[in-house]
Amino acid sequence: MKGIPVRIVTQEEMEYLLRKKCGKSENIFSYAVIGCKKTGKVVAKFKINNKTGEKILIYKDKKDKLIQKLEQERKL
Amino acid sequence: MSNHMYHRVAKGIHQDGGNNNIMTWWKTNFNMPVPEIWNGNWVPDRGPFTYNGQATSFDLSGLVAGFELVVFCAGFHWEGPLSGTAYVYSEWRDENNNLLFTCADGIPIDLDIDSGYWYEYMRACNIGIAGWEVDTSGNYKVRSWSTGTGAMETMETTITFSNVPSTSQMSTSKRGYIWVEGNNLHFINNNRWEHSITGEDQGYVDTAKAGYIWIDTDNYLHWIGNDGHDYKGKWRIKQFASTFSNGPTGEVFAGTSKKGYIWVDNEFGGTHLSYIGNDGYKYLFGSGNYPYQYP
Repeated sequence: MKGIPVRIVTQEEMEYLLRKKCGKSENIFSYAVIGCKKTGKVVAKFKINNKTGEKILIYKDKKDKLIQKLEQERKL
Repeated sequence: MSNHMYHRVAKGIHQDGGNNNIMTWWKTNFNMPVPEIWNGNWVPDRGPFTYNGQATSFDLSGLVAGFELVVFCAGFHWEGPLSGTAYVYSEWRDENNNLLFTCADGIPIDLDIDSGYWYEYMRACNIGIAGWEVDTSGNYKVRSWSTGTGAMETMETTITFSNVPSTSQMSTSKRGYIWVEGNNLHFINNNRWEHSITGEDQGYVDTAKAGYIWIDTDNYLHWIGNDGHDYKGKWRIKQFASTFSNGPTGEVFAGTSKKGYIWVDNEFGGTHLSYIGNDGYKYLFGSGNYPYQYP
């Protein structure tokens, strides 16, 4: 039974202590993909900011024709 | 195949491929932080997950208010050629068809798809047992639709919850109470529900020590039960930033001078206990199941 004895403290006391060390909330993302019907492969993957809709490319298949076209058009 | 949506409602999901992280909602404390689960092998009409306990009917016998239930994943599928902006929506509705909450509220999706390609987007959100979520047995609904480019009419799936427990709350004066009852650790959580935690029996110590509570060097909570045995908490989570909903960020280091501090927390949905472990970090613990295992 060796251990650290607990001390019951209030939420308010801990909130003050931890808030000082805790940053603001993060932006949370959901995901989307582009896939090729012929090969069945995902050719691009995006994170999408749930609040702003901002799309962040996190994967692209550089050999894929659509990806090459979108890159040329500066859409990726 | 034309533009369409798909619904999956499940007790939990795990990332298919990648890190294979598991997240379970069924019978876990409210809003436990969710590890990175999205970046797996995406399959059309399924998304990046394997669904654990997928169903449209759930029996809540043995569960209590303050436990999570299921996650609703709404998938949106568009076929090329298509160019423009779609706006996606998804929501939960109660047994009287009243809106419970909105999951996706017009999130803009830029589409630029050639012929021979498809585009998929998925939004997921969970629901639990509470007066403001599931509080009555009956037929609930999940719904999704999209507007703008490639608009899709509403898709609705009925989700039945049976044997829903009472969600009545105690008075605010009881919040924060903690005690040993029988061999379980009981407490009144921030949402004013009494929760009972069953520990792992570590053997007999002394009946005269019944009611003692402490934290071990591995950051687990212990208590002495009425029978004089040492009971150890079955799990604890070192707080981290959830990848699922906005909440506290990252690990919280309070400092080793604060180890042993324990309180009824109001973060992450407020149905768990928090304490500062032996290493000075904030830990989450509760009466629900460990969320990072299969349901």
